[in-house]
Amino acid sequence: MRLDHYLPTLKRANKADRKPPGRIRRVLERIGPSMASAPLRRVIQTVFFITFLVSFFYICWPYTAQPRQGDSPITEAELDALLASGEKPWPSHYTDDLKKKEVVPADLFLRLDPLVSLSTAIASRSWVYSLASAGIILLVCVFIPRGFCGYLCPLGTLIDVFDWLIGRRVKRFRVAKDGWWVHIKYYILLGTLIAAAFGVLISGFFSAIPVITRGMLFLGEPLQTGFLRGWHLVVPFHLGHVISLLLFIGVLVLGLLRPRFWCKYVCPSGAVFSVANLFRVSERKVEDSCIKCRKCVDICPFDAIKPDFTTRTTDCTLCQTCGGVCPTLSIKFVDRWDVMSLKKENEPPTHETALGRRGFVSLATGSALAVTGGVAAKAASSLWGADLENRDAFRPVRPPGSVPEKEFLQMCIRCGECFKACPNNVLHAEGFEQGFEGLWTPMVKADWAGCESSCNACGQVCPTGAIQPLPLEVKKKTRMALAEVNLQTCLPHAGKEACQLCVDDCVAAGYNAIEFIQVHTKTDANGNPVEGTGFVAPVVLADKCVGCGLCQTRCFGINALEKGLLRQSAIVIVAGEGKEDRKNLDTEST
Amino acid sequence: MKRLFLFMLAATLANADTIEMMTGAKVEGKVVENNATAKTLTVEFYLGGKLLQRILPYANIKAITVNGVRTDLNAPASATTRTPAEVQALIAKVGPTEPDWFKSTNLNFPKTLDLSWPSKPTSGWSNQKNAGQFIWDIINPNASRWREGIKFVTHLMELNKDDASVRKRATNEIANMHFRFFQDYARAAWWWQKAGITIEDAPGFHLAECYWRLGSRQMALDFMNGTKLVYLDGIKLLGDMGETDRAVKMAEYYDDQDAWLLAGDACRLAGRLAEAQAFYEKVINTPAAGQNPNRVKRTTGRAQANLAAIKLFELADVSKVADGSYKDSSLGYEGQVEVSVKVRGKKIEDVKITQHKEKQYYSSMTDVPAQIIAKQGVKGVDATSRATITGEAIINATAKALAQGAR
Repeated sequence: MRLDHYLPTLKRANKADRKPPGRIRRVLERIGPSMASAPLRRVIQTVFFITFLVSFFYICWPYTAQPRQGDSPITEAELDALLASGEKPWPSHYTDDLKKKEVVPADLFLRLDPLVSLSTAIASRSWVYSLASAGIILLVCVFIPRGFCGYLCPLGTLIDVFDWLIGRRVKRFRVAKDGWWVHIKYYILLGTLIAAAFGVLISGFFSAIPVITRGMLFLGEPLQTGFLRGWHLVVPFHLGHVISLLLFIGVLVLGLLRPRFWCKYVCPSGAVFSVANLFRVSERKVEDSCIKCRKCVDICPFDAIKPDFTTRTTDCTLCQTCGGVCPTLSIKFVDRWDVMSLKKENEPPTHETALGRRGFVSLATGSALAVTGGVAAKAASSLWGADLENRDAFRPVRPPGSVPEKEFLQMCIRCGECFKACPNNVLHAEGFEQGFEGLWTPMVKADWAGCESSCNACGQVCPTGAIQPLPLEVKKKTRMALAEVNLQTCLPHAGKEACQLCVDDCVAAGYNAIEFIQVHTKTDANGNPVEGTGFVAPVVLADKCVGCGLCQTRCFGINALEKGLLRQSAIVIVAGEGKEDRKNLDTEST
Repeated sequence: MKRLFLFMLAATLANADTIEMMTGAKVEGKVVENNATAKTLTVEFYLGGKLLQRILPYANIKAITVNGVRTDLNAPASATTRTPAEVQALIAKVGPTEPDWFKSTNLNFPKTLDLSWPSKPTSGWSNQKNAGQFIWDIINPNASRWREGIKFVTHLMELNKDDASVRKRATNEIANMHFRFFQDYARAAWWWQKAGITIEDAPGFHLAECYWRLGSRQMALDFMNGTKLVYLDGIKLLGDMGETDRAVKMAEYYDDQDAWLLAGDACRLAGRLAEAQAFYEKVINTPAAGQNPNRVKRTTGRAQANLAAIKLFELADVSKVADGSYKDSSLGYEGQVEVSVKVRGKKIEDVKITQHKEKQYYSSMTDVPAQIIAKQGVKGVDATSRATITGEAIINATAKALAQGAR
């Protein structure tokens, strides 16, 4: 079984017989040696990278949705509802738009990142539906070991682009020798899994796809919004954003040390594939025609070729670049059990031992650090965390369909996909309001915008099920919070002036969850109300309010920002016991 | 074939009638039969390639627009003229019947209410204890509770049927609710007549209005002639009835801010805009002495708003606007929306949104200006569906901008 797809270098023994390279070959060579040797892999990488960009910047861009004109029903059920009770059709343009555009799932890559689903499942001790797709990709990678890293991972491709554009030009930070860092990824993997076992989910800090998703979110999304919709719509940054961006830039800058430094040595998602490589059925092999020219060692972007030119099987991504540069066609990509005319191992000697004294020390130190890190993450989240037992602790309003808060913190991978899909940026990245534990989780900021009645995107794009994928029919009745009127500040309640912004907005959105009450009526000498005195003021109907926050957006936007009458919105959505519908996982099936 | 299809499509669209539901929702269909005796409409709807037929009771429908003519199904009386005898017959026939929603409406009120409805509530103001205050605070401001309100007062009347004073109050209140909430003039008149209301009583002019709305101007005027006194309600009703001269005369006799405001309204309704402006300006410029300051503020405020509305919608006529660019703004969803209107040769050339803070409802930003340009004005432009607030802000700002140029 041969899996070769590289372009072989054909060198004829006699110089005179050599032909000049063809046009295509010349173009490929100009781009770079890896393009000339294994163009198929670069093409596949490009396709997946573009898929990632399209899914993030197009599928998860809600503003292609157009509301339907007028109230006209489009289905028979809608018509009959309208004729029977005068109920206007519930708008669904954001939901429909996402469904229409989702040719591939918006969160495809997040589902494929095995560490995302694995750590979430461990942390929440539950089945996470994306485990299935992660399982499939791991299975595929049994045939193409670490193929995810070489072919699929958009972060890997981005790092390749960075290395090609910048990394190869800046030489001063390059490190020549292998150092203590070469096995970091395993310890980070171990650390995140230990933390997950304690119910703390930190894999999102280091997993490949969440890292690039957040990077794109905090770098690309503001630009997209700013240029396409207006700069006033860009969500202001806070410390949480800065930390995430530094992390993302750090990942790229590591490429100055060595090409793909992050992927080779640090990425814990890659480590999962490295471990899975133990079960590989295919691998790179070198035949005895090898002339020890070292071309393959020099070109390998993954440091996966030992000094004796054989393969570090846990690191090889089967990119096949080495095959293309080998002058003697000695490299083959075959099944694991192919032993035809192989080159002798340890020649020249690699000076590598299975596990020497120093290896053992570093293994012990690394493992100890991993355990310490995992436990520290647990300690940090208990000491400086959400403090769920405390009724007075900060409780953010979560997106509609979120699982209960404890499970939510264990299941949210902090990838930021939901922010991107959310129209008007209702969802904001949390900073340190809940300490370390809530960092980058989505919270509703109703001062900024309210939840669109026709949208259910956040649940659809969530890769871990922290936000359940609710159908719009269910979502529109799912309470995310409860609006509460501040009787001291609300303009009519306080007797200051007439105002019905929140009521109008609630009616327009179709919830009809705020009604009026007459307040501050003056009475005459007989105790009868005087016509024309007092105000009508808002009263929230708790059985109808879903906590979308549209009322708060309007009160804050007009009464606080525009008119300066209030410091804060006088109607505020509040989360907490009895105010939100947050189902447990076991009652839910996906 | 394609041409035939287009022709048929055009033909169907030309026949599109609009059915306006009670809730304000609108739907397009084709009215194939209007059965006035059974009080039903048969309507065909063309939905997703299917032709559906539905029979709709009048009770669910507010109005229909057939071939561009709008008919209010539930207020047929205003369109026709009746003799006083016919009006009285109509009141006697419809008045004692229950509205068709009455049976299916639930009784819904706090258990803590004192259902004996004493005329002078003992404790302080409490809408959870005193029935009248419950109606005032909670029923009146919420359209969704109006049916419940009539049901509730009917319930109070039955509970206290031996107490003449409560019975009279309930009778009056039921009439009042039919009148205010549903413009159900026949029932309102019947209940007021039952309570023995004369023109000197507080709701007297409302009863006169019922007679007029039901089709007899003469009956209303005769009833009003039962008093020699001048009432504000009288000025208003005369103005609404189009008896503008009489209303103005009465207002001049009454001679205070409230009366001038009503006279202004009467003139505005009759299209006598210059006089209306003069009255409104008089309200604004003449400080009222010895009045409740809040009330003065409210009256002045209304005069200002009406004056602005005249300038906006009745003077914002592009044929009177000089060439140039005009900018103005109006309050939108998140803040002021500023619009720049370019007029040349009595035509609106361009409408641009120059500044805004809106986060959502972007569709109206392109749709509404396009409509304004197409219709060459702000009349008849609808705010884009689901973007009403932004759309209205654009319409108002455009009207204000146009009004600047209309000198």
